[in-house]
Amino acid sequence: MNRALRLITRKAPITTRFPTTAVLSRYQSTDAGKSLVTESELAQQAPNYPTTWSNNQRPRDVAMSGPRFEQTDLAGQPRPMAAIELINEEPIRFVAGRKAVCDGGDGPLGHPKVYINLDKSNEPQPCEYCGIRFQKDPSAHH
Amino acid sequence: MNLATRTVLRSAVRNLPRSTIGFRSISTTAPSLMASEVTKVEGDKSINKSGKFEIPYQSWEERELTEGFFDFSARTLFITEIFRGGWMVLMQFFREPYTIMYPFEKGPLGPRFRGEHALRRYPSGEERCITCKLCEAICPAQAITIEAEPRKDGSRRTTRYDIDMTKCIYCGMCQEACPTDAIVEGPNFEYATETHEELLYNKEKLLANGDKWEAEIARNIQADHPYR
Repeated sequence: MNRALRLITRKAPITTRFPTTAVLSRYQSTDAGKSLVTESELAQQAPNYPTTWSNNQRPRDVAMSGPRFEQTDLAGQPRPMAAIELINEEPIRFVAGRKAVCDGGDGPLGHPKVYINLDKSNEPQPCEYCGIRFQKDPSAHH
Repeated sequence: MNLATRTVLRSAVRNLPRSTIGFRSISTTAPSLMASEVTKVEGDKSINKSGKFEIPYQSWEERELTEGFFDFSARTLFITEIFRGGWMVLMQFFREPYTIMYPFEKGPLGPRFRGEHALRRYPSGEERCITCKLCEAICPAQAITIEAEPRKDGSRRTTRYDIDMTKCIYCGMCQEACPTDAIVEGPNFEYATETHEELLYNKEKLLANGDKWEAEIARNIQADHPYR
């Protein structure tokens, strides 16, 4: 049984459905030791974002201070990338037509399918689920 | 049972396929006790003179007189069991061992394994959690705490997502409730800590977990999606 399961795992094809290393490395923080994290990086809210991104969010140095954090190795605490910056880098999708469709992609790995109305403005409209922005292509005829 | 009965039984055995006879010659069951042969002779001998059915009976003395060498050794020396045991030892000697080098080599896990929690992201890097709070509502141990606030770009995301891993009972209701597969219980089961406080996970820890295990989690969801 043990051996059979292991063989199945090895034989499973690697497809592009799953995030490749290039995609993952966009938001995965590296396994760098604490010597590589400098003081200025520790002062930031996230490795790719200097400040907080919500009104009532407490800055890192305020939130992680006091007796509870005595002798805590702050460089060893988890520091994921800030999603607000990562989604900001994502390019706007221009759509020929008045509505955009978004299901997150990759079938079962996506989100519930939504239609986004692009009528009102010529500003990009983000998908409520995955944050990807859509905009009506002004040059497209419809 | 007289001698004539036994002769009939023998002839019945002789009419069986050859492989059956070879198998039965070393069995511990007397041929006279086998159901098929009784039905074969039911017409004449197993029904006595008064017309009633009678189980064919062979006394110990009769059996010891009639049984062959293999019957004797199978009954007295357990010779078939000895050979079967020897064969089992031989098979186990030549097969791959069951043991694995555990810390370096893990056993197989199913795609529905419920281990350490993680918050996932889309391939773009955006967090999947949209603060619907279904996981918080359904959690039977009330281990999840969520606070929400609009982000500066207008997106609806959590500002706080805490899981008390010492309250959690690992029932998997949170990942079943999640519409976007944001909170999942991943394949990691090795996260023992020294203190209680280290098991109070906040959003940053959960997101870091998700980043670390995304490849495995995505593969598990892909493998299990036809059954959900």
